[in-house]
Amino acid sequence: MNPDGEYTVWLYGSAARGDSDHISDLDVFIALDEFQQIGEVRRIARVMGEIWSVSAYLWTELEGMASYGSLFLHHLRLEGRPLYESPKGRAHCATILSSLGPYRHAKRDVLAFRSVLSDVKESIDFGCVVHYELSVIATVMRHAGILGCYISGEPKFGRLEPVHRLVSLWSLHDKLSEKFTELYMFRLAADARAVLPFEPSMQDLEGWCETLEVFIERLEVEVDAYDRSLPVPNSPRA
Amino acid sequence: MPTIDHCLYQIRRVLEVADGHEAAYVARSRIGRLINSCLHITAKAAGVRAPDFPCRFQAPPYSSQQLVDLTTLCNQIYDLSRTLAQPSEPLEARWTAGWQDLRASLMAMEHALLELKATS
Repeated sequence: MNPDGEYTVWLYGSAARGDSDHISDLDVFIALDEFQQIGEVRRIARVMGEIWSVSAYLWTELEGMASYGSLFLHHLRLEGRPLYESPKGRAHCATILSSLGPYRHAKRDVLAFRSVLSDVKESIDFGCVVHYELSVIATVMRHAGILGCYISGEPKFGRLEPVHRLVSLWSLHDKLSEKFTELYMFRLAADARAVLPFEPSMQDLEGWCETLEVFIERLEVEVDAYDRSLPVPNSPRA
Repeated sequence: MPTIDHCLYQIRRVLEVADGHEAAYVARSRIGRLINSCLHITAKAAGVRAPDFPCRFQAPPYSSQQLVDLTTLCNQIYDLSRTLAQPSEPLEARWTAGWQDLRASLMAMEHALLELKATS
């Protein structure tokens, strides 16, 4: 890479937090200034193997994300560690992360979670592939957990921790944490990082749809309260 | 198990979400579902075990050209969707910019599925 260019490479996720295990991947964040470079980075990452999970953004994309307080940028700010940066890239990244405001897409995310859940329910009538649908439920539940933890003032971005924390915070059924750990194996299996924990049935999927429905309903209540508490953009408190 | 008609329906479901506010997030799982279903059709026709999850797939060497073409389109859409909606945060802006490429691949897939339906 050109030392005069504007780029930065960070490690984030479990390896940066120091809680990685044998099925963890290496989450790498890269900021660049040309879209063609992103394609090149993804090709290199593919050659390096599935263990590398690369998220590559343009600076303009990152600035757009900062404008709504992107949860991913909060994640980077909280846990990320720079690996390699050009001087211009370091400065640009510091500016973006230091001016990051509160997350402003919480309500929209809940709508998206609802849409995905609705898709999964619809797929049941269409002879769906249960393994895949369970991996989708696991992904949404984790994302809902990350959002829930963030708006509760306890940001957590791990694989299981966000849901486990909300189970405790929202006094949900204790068994849910254990069951979610098992469910998340389908998500990991989708990335070939784990074997399927069991052969799932349609009843398992229907049960998880109901659980996710309850989880999202509770999140919706919390998001309403969070949104009301947000300062108006561009006000002195924002 | 998924049928060709399900796959055609899922293509429409991906196309529907293009303009929505939550487009990228919802499209990501719809594309995964579409690829998974198409791979089931391909694998079943080729007499091999279908993958449980969306992935890059290679049709067996004895597969018909129609199945090879369909698999190629699945791989193309799979790669494109991973660039448009990467794991950390799907971006509306990138999704919008890449939509035309994805749309062209989806149309080609629809065509391939209709041809397969007509001959099967």
